[in-house]
Amino acid sequence: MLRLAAGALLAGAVLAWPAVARSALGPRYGGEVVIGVTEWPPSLQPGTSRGATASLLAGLVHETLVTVDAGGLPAPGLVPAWTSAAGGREWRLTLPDAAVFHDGRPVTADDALAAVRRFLASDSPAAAWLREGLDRQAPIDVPDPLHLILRFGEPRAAALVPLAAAGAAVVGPRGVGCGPFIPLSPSPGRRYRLTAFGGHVRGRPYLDAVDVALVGSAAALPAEFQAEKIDVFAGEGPLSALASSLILALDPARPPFDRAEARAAVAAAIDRDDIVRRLLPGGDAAPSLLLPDLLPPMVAYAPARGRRLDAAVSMVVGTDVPPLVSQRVVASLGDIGLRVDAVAVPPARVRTAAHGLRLFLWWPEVPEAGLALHELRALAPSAAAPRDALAAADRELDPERRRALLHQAEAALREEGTLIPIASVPVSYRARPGLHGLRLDPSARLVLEDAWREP
Amino acid sequence: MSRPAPRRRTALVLGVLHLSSAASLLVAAPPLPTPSPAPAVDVLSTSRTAPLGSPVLDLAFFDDDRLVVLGPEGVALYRWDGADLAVESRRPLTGPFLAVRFPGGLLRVAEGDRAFWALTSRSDRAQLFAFEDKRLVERQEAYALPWPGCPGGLRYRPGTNLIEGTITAAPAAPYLGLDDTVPGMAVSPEGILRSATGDGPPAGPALAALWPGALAASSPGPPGEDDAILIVATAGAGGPRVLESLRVEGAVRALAARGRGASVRLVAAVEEPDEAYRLLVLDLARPQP
Repeated sequence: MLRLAAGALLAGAVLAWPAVARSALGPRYGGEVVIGVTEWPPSLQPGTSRGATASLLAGLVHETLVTVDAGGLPAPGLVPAWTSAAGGREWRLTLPDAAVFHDGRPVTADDALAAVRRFLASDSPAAAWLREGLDRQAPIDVPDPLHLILRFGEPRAAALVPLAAAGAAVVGPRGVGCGPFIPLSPSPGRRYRLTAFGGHVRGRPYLDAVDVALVGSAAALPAEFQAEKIDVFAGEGPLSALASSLILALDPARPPFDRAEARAAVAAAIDRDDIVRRLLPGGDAAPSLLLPDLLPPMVAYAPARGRRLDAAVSMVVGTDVPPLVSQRVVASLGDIGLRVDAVAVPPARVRTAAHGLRLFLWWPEVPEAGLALHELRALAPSAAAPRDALAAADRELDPERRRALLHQAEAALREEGTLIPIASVPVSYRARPGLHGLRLDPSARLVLEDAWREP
Repeated sequence: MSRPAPRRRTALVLGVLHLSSAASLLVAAPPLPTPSPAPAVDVLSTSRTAPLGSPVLDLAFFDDDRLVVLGPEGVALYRWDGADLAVESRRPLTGPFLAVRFPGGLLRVAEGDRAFWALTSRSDRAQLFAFEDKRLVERQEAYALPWPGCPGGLRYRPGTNLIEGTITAAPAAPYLGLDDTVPGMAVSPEGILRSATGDGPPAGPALAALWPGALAASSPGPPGEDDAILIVATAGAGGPRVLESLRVEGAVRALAARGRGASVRLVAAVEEPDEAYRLLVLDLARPQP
């Protein structure tokens, strides 16, 4: 029986409300949103390109089997549930029987199997980690159209997390996706138009359509917003999260960085606090290689000042690094006697370019500390210490002990001096008033499937 | 100009106290003076239930003492037992249920037949339930919800909480809000209370007739603003207009009203900030001159 509690009537009373309350009218179905971007991915196919726009579009068009929550744990994606067996060596994923692709075809376990196999064959760092851990005899099995079984050689922490990588998205024949929005224009131009997918696994999104429009330059975005040509853009706004690490990578095979003292001198020469204060508003002078949300820093990072160097070195800089920041880094290196010849290259090329110095913004493929450290380790050759600590963390199933091992691995990787963290860099979005439900996922990707507009 | 004398009536702003469920009696609230010179409604008493345990999509009075509560996957019939509301019968809706982000639901009571129709956006079928031998029984299914003046019946636009159908003497579909006690009126997807002859004030999706010429509607407030029950005059020159606004803590998701002699009992399903649903019961009266 429901008891009715008597209520008092209060004239002019101010009721206690939380900062965010649900409204009577919303969430509301209908309406459209235009997002202004300044980079354009060559393809909508999963895992073919990286960057903010590629990540945004991947989240609109595609679904991965699992996602990652803010704590780095697997969370439901296309698959709402999973179970483990054989002491944590076997993971059984159950597909929802109502899941369909944009063309109406059911999503089956065979589609999931094809996605995992395609992912494993890719050059993704997360795929490499998954490949290494899977059982060699019978790694994957599809017992029926709704179940996929992954078998590992030994119990692994974060076993399913690699499947949250964009490259592991499940696609149908001819690349058809099953994400919340259907792309209407298959060939990229200056605008992608996407409409709500009624058969989405979590339900039709509220917005009828999303347009992703290429705007000439970042400087033009505020004017386009002011002119009401776009509703959302990457710029100063309340929707903000530290999204990437600004990293200076040193090639230990090239002098003078073959000497640990030279690497230490470079690390000490860069005034990280000054760069953040003056040039990266909202950023954080990086106390570690990973973003604070991935691995809360244990100790302050304060490399000791080293001696002066005298050498000429070449440096590649990602074009997404603010020019003033790269100029400030070059000036700092000049202060210790390094004559730097800097060249700007696209972000995708900077990580693999063969130069003494590389300055780039890095964001993990999957926002989980262990996988992120594996990915970082692959960016610069390292000695045994980080590798051993990471291997131990992979085997450690207790979250607290695993975190301690990840701290050890991060410290060991930083100690080598081949990857120098400079700052954690925020991504922020500005949205038109009356637009609700926008959020950033743990990898700071803009998520629109729950976004809605006031009439 | 002299200020009108304060009237003995309840407040314009409605506060709902968080009392424990042990407080079982419906207690008449102390009447408070109000500065309003022309109150549209007197709130005689308020009370509210403990959390229901399930979202509420629609409410409808089944008879004087019974209330139908429609949830995403079931219906329940409640009965007033003195000051308490007791569940008399529950029935699950027939699945399978479609995945929707924000479900909608619609009830239509056929009181003479001791039955009601229920439709939610999670299913492509409407179901008819009858109340027999003190329990709900499913009697029939249909691919649309039978509705007065709507030969083809009503359906939900797939995946949304927008209602589609062609209703004679009503504004054009789709509808965000409809109630068969308020014929000829509907809330548009843009949150406007509309009649066949014109637009009224902004309103949320919940509607219920109070007495001739007046209805209650949820407010169109965006997140972060106080929600409210709007008292709307539907008769008179100039079209529908808001007479009064009763502030409520939480979002009003459904409304139902029933005349009880000189007063009207208005029940609101309120989603609170912690996403719990409660029923808020208000006994209202038209102010006497």
